[in-house]
Amino acid sequence: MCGIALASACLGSEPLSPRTIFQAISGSPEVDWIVQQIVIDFRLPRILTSLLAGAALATAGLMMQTIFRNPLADPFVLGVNSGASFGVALVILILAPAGISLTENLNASGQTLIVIASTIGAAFTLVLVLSLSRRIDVMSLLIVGLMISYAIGAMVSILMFFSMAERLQSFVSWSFGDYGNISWSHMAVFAPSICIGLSITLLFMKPLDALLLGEHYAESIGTHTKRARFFILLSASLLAGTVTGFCGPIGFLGIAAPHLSRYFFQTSSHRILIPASILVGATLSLSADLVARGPGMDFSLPLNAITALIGAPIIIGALIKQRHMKRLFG
Amino acid sequence: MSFSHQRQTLCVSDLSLGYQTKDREHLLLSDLNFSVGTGDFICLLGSNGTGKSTLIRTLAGIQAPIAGTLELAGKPFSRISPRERARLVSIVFTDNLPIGMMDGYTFASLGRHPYSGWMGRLSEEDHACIDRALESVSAQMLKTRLLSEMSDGERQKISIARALAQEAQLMLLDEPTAFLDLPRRVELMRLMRNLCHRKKIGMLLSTHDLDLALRYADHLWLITPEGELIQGLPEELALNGKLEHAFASENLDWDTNSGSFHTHRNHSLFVTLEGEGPVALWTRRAFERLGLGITRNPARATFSTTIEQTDNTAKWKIRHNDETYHFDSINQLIVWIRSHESKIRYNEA
Repeated sequence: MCGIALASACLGSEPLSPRTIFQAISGSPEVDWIVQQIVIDFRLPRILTSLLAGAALATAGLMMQTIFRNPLADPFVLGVNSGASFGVALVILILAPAGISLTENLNASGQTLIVIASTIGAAFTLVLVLSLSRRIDVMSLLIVGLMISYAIGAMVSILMFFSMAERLQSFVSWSFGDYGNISWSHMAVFAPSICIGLSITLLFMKPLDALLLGEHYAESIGTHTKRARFFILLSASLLAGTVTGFCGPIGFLGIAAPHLSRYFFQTSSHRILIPASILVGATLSLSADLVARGPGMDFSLPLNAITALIGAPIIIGALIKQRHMKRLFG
Repeated sequence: MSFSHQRQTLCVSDLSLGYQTKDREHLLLSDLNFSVGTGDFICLLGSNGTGKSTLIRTLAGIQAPIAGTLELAGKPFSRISPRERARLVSIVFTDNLPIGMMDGYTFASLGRHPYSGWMGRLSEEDHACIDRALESVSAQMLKTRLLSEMSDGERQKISIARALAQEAQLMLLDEPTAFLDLPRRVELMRLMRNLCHRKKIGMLLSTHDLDLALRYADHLWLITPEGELIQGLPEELALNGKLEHAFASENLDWDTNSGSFHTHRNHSLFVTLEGEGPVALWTRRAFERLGLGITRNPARATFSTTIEQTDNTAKWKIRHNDETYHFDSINQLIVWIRSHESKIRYNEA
């Protein structure tokens, strides 16, 4: 992972040597001021973002797969990303054309507005689903989450239908996902949110193990099922919502990383799976971003496409080796 | 129904249970009063839909009762935390178990959750307890096997080991014999009865295996079609006709002599049967299966059957309308009766 991180720091539209990178970070006077700025203000936050986002999505995916006992669950099953995309769609497609030209060139303040909009959107669906989570059983909750996603997705489609082409373009490029929009000031919110989410997860390792048996059994071995479910969903949605808010909807990592962790460590115990997913998720995420930025290219490919292109073959390969899905999931 | 050496773990008074929706409630059972003591092996019997599972789920605290009070170890249910309850009650349900990357030992070790800290780390004592639990159901060889690779019987065993590792005073089992073949059912019932007596655990086990319940239960609880819960010794319930009442239907007769239910038929054909031992017993079963009644009165019989046994061979002889037929196996006998059935019946008419 360190290797990939270093590669990620070195490669970019301006290839730099590892030596330069370290000099830039340590503030050595030998390094050009511009290079130093590229490294510290662009490449480092980007690496940190991709690591944190990967870890967050992988952990959130793991929790969702466990709580819904479904190998296809991902961090967004409860509609967090559709909520976020609705917020963003409102800002880009409605507010901006209505005269608020903040998002004109996707400049810094525009970025902030998008982050705020998507975070509010994600938080809104989160509150909606969590308020239901204590009242209905877990399978109904899964269906409710899906339905909310569809409904919000439909509203986004309607917004898109009435929008101007160039607005549509910037909305679509948001939906590609990008780690490059986080400045150090954003990081001050982004990193703590993710750390809080991950800490909650670590507190619920034992209930997560118990929930593998289903809620009845979990309750019977002393798990406070409803409370555990609430906090697990809260932390999973916080993680997924934060990432979506800051980086756009990043698919696939959340579903792939937990499966790979189970495959690598051959276990279902969350004491191992949580750290493993964090590690695998961060590594996958960093590699995907490295590929997306295409060493030596001036543009970057849609991150979402890359995560799926890298992830899908890995999962298929693991499955074929493992013979059947049943054994990979646990 | 309790003995003096028992401690009562579960006491229930005026319990009503069923399903409650906003505007109506569907009451399955009402005004139940009972207690379960340590070392008491109780089998819960009742037709489908009478509320066996609902009763067990309510006692396990999974489903809230509509009315009534439940006490565990002298404490009302509502004042018991999940963790505390887990140390008092364990369950074995036939729910879907986790699939995949979980081996038998890890699964059984989940039973120690009510005793471990927030990390779920197991102490030496925990490991010893898990080993004891696995040993008492002879499931040591399942330790490293994945759950997904186990047979239904093995999964049931490991589930019981998990429940035993919980070291609770009361174990609730919902149809643990449901997916097992007959020898495995007998084995399981024996095992549970022995564990119950040896470890002084109160066990409530719902089942459809009337025969096994009659043989192994210390007490039977019967849910009648009217929604009443009848408690008693198996023998008493069989003798006083309550068992018959709970299960009998138009096509089923209770035979107090054999202690089992039979599908009842209006026999139109009767035959006599002479012979002894297992061969006679199974010949009789074959006749019953074909719908032939056995009579001792030669005048009522359409034909007579005699079994001639030498050391290890048996021959069957049928006399019908002054003719004698010989058979070397029950199969030949059945083939002959089947092919002549219409003729025999016609003659009879």
